[in-house]
Amino acid sequence: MTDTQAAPTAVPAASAATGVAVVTGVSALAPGGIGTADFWDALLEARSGLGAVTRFAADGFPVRVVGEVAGPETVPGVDPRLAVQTDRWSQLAMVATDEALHDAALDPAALPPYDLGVITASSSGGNAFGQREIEALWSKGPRYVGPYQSIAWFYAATTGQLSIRHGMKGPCGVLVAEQAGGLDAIGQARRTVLRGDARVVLTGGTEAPLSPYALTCQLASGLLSPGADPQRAYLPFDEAATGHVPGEGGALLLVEDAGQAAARGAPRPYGEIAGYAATFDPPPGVRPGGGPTALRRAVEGALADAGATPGEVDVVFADAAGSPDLDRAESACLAEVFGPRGVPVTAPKSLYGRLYAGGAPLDVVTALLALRHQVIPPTSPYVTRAAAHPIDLVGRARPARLRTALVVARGYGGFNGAMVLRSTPPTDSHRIPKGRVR
Amino acid sequence: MNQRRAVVTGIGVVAPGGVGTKAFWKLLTDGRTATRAISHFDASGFRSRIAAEADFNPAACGLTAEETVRMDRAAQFAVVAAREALADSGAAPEEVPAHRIGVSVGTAVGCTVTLEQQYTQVSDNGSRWVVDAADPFPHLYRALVPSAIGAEVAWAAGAQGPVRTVSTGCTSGLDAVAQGAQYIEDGTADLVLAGATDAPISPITVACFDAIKATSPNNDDPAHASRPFDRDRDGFVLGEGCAVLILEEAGAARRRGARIYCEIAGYAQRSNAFHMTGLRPDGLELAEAIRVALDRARLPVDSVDYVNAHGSGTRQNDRHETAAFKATLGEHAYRVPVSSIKSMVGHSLGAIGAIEVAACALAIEMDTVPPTANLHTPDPELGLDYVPLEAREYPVDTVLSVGSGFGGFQTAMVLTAPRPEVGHD
Amino acid sequence: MTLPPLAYNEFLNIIQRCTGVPSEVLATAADPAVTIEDMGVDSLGLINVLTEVENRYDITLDADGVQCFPEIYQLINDQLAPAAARTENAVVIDAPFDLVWEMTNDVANWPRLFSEYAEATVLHREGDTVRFRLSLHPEADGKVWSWVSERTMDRAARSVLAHRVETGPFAFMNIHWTYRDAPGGVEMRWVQEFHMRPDAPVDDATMTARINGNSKVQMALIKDRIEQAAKARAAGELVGQ
Repeated sequence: MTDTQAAPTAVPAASAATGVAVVTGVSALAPGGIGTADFWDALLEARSGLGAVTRFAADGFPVRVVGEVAGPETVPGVDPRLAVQTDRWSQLAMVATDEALHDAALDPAALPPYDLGVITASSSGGNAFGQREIEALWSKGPRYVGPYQSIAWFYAATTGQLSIRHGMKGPCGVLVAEQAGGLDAIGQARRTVLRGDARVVLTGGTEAPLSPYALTCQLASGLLSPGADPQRAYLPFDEAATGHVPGEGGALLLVEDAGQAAARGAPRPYGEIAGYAATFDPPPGVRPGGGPTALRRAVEGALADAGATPGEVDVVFADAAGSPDLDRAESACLAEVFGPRGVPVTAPKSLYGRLYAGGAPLDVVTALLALRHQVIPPTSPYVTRAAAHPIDLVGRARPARLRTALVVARGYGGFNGAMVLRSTPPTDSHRIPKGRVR
Repeated sequence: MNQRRAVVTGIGVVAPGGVGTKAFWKLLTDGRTATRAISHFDASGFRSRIAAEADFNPAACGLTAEETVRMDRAAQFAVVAAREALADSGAAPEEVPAHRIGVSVGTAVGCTVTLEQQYTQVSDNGSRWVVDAADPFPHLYRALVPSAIGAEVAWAAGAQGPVRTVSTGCTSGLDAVAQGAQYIEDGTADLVLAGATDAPISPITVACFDAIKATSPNNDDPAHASRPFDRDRDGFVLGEGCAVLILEEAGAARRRGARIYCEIAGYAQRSNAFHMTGLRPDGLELAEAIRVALDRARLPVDSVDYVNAHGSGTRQNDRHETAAFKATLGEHAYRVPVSSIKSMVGHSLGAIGAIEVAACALAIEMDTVPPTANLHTPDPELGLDYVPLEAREYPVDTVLSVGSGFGGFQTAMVLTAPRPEVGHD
Repeated sequence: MTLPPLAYNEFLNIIQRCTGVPSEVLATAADPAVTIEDMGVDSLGLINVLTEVENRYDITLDADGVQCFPEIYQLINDQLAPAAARTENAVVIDAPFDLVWEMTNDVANWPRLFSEYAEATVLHREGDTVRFRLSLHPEADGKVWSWVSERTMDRAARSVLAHRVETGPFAFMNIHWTYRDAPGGVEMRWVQEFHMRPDAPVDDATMTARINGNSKVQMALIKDRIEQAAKARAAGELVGQ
């Protein structure tokens, strides 16, 4: 018995590898902005995507304002054969993937399948799908649970479907850390590319957390805003902050080695994933010791990983929890690292809500778009920064010279993540440090 | 070479057949099965009414009443296993800086027990779509987001370094251990709690496997229902449980005089990009994962002393992985013992990969290979040595463990006895 | 059986709902040379179709080795047909065939032809096939039974095939209407084939008795109303002359 019939073992990163992980394709799906161009326009115009619940009869329901991606429950553009077997959360990822692949001019079939990986974040799985099936079980009986429940609800469904749909046989992963999970996924994608375990990794995440039961679960966190006014329900860093508004959507992106990307003729990268770090808070009720907070260690860890000083950071995309204590912890951390009002800080998510697993990937895409367009997208114009927050909160779109951006994300329970994005000069995309163009 | 390597220095297990590593290893080496009629809920009306249940008493395992209410069953398993593993390792987490302690815990279905219980309350047993949201169970959000399990383990261990929850379905356990090893290798942590937990024996999970006829309907003979590699197998038997391993950097572990069970020498994850539940009989992608894992471990195929198979108990899996073993190990595949502990502890979805790594670490430590229970009539189309019925004392230095799961995910991991050169770094 | 217990169009609807196949692919389902796999339907999709049918009719389908949907359709109907209960009732109406045909097939007017229907709403009409909703008069507790049926009329053959689309307590309910000349007028005959769902409040035997009793009442009423109309028309014609 020999292995001659088997597929060839994946080769280590080919000679063109530079050890720099770049993003070559992006997408964006958010309340108020479907597709990257539409999303970016919405941000620059500070168009809010928040509004009343429309997908179920919510009279009397204690959650009044959410961020829905407009359109029917089944996401347009998804093959109906896949739509029957997937939750909306996976469908959003499929549509976003199509945009990212197109943006990166990447035909997965043109690369060896083991060189293509998929690593996504998920926070709550296939909520509406799962609720329908569990309803059938409890109201009608076990025979009424359909065969797709076994593949649609679990947290790995999206990664599996994307891998199958695009013939990606390389490393697949799924990470969960609520709103911080997206950075873990992108960080793991970067590691995978830099270690040569895959040439291209499709990464990011989406979320569809607006089914009645999923919202009920979120209510238990005590962090949802009770507000009924879409413009005033989610006001991070404002005196009037009362919690966040949950939204659906997210972003998928393609991470690859800069040299490999150039070698395949990829379009100019959006930027480099230059640094990443994740930390965890002390247990609740335990006073932290004298050292830096876990959040600060994440921020400083990501900067160190990027070989960047705080002074090099041109803009920070804040986690912007929208709850007074969490906001204070974040603004204090940023003031410690960058100095009071030492760096522009923005929270575009105040326009569309917290998207959990989709949130940090969308912030990364937003940061990359900011680097490309040299403009900082604003925080919701309804936010008035409270004096207690010593940060330079960007209230309207601000043109700026941007080369390095920091994304901060926190997940419920104590998860902290930070990621540094750095622009790649236009000339870089056609200059290959090592190796050669095919 | 100054490459950092992860070694296993502590083991904690909650498994069917008895809580704790000792009870677990005794079950395996006795070749007994812990599969039985489902007692966690009234399973009449279900197609498969059997499971490998853990007899788990949270209070007896040291959990407080508050912890028991706050945590889903899967999280309870994880915290209990984490505490056992820490104690077993002799590592003093309070002596390691908190930010150098990491967690990587896997789970396939997270906190479904709590999610389902609470759902029946707020929906009045499924009678309304717009559920009663007025006064939800205070810990319900922890149940919605499985990262709560990672958080609980972190709190139990005082971890403030990287903490992640890995959820790649039935390969979650192997993948979580692999990512925990990466923390050590990358230098982002010095002490890592790596493992996986699942408590899937609840109506919705049992029903979803009923629907696709994946689980065994052998309700009349639960003790003999899990029959991997047997001609008469008829599906897997659901299990539950958890294993947590303590991972440390090899040199540091050696310097503190820790008992080293084994080194995590190599791992790889590949996907079949074929079907969410289906497997091709050629096992090509699993073979690729095995090949890369061995390559990273820098070990030749004939060094493998034991293969811990996925062995779920479906014909599709048996053919798939047997083909992968033959393709990668060649002639050696016919000599090396291959067994499935799922025959005894069932298939606990994401948890089982970590439980199997625990079994592999113990196999190396005890030089004993656990058997495949219930294997009375080996399927003639397979043809390997599946260690029927009885454990085998056998020098075990290198183990290959594999996992295969929904989504098409295939993971392989190579574990070796502590290698001498590790001490000279 | 006059009609297959599961109508073919309904079978196609089930396939589409359970597998998501687009219409152009669905159209190939009738071809026994097109396998289920050819249609892009995987094992889970097939299970979804089978489970839907099994739950609807409380049957178990052994579809091992089945390659195409026509085989499954056959399997379903082969299993359902023997379970059918059957009633047969007829009445002779002293009126011309054209009038009997027109009045008994004017679904919108059924509340004035039968005593049991409070409302009849035509939902869809295509060629000789009409889909409509019928509602009974409210019961004492206010509950209104309502369902959707479909009938396909073949005037040349003097025959109508009807079935319930929303089957309610029935697993299936088919009615074959036939008309023929008979001594004393036109004989209208209803052959009903049906099977109750396992969770229905009554079983097949009870429903058989109920249908037989009610058919006599309704047929007498229909006969009376059509014969009156025939008389009125004859009178009108006389006056007209």
